Amino acid sequence: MTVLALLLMALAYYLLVYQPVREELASIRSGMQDMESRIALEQAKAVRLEQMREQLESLGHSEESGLTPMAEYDNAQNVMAALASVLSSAAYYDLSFSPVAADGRLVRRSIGMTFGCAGYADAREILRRLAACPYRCSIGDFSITAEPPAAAAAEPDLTRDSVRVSLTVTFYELTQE
Amino acid sequence: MAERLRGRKLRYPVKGTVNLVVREHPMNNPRALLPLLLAILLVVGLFSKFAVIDRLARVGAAQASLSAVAARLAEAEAANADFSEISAQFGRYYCSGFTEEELAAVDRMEVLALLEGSLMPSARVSDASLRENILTVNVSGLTLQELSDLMRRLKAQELVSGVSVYTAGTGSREREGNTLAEVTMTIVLAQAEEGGDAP
Repeated sequence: MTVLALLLMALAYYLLVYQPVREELASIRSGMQDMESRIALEQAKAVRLEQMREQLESLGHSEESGLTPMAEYDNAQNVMAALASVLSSAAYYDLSFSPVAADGRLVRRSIGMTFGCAGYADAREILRRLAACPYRCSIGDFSITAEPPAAAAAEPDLTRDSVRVSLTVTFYELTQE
Repeated sequence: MAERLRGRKLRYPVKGTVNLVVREHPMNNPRALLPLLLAILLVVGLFSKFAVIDRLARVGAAQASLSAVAARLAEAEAANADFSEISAQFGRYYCSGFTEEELAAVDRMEVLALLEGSLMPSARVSDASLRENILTVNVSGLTLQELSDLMRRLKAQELVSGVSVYTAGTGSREREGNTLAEVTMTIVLAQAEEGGDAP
């Protein structure tokens, strides 16, 4: 009788105290590990967030950074309008558009460009306006060649003659996530 | 005696039931019970302390720790609440998809400034072309000594990492008895700082 009572008490202890406590502790431990890993993730995000904030802030303070936000794809019409404005002072121009190339979210719109100007200063101004275009772009390889009048015997000189510029410019756009 | 018994009927004792009930005698002496009670109380007390109370206390402490961690997590999440917004804004300026060449490209306006500041005042520049970070220029109207000085000045520029002359030939022009050279030179430009995020 006593043995049976002890066995019942042990069973009751196991079912009412030991087992629930063990399960609760395991659940808490698992929850804690999950939360710790999420905290580590949040800390990494916080570091990245701070870096991004600093870089964005430096963009705001630094006029010479020249970084403009990337437009959303497809920005072809706006690019055309910007190019028309940039090239308005060119004596002539020739544009060739390559097919857009997507790399992840980033889309490259490369344009081969040749234009002529009355002088180097005009060509430089066009290049400056292109570099400062409101849509993110980068000027790639370029060449500037002096074009003396056909009848002139003098050697070509960029500072004196009309100028012919060839370059590639790539506009960057972003697709939606 | 035997004669007397012979005349009477013999009667033997008969018992039809057996009483097995034991008459218990309660232990009325408390002194004898006390050690047993104390022992039981001690066992129950120790069991309660170590097997029940301490275990429940461990659960309580673990729950308190969990609450503290949850609070830290909530705080961290609140601090990063605008991560998506900033990330989207950042992504419009910087992108991980740029190539190494794009990130290392020298500012083209600085290249033009180099052309205007160092080459054009010293020589007649007929053309200049930039391919990747190598600037090739054709210049004329300077003597070899002037060319040497020009190269030295170019090398001193922060933007320039190397200068070399491809061809140098005498042109048809002279100045003060010195034949002026026609030169093709290449200027290797120092790459933009590594680790940039955008061209």
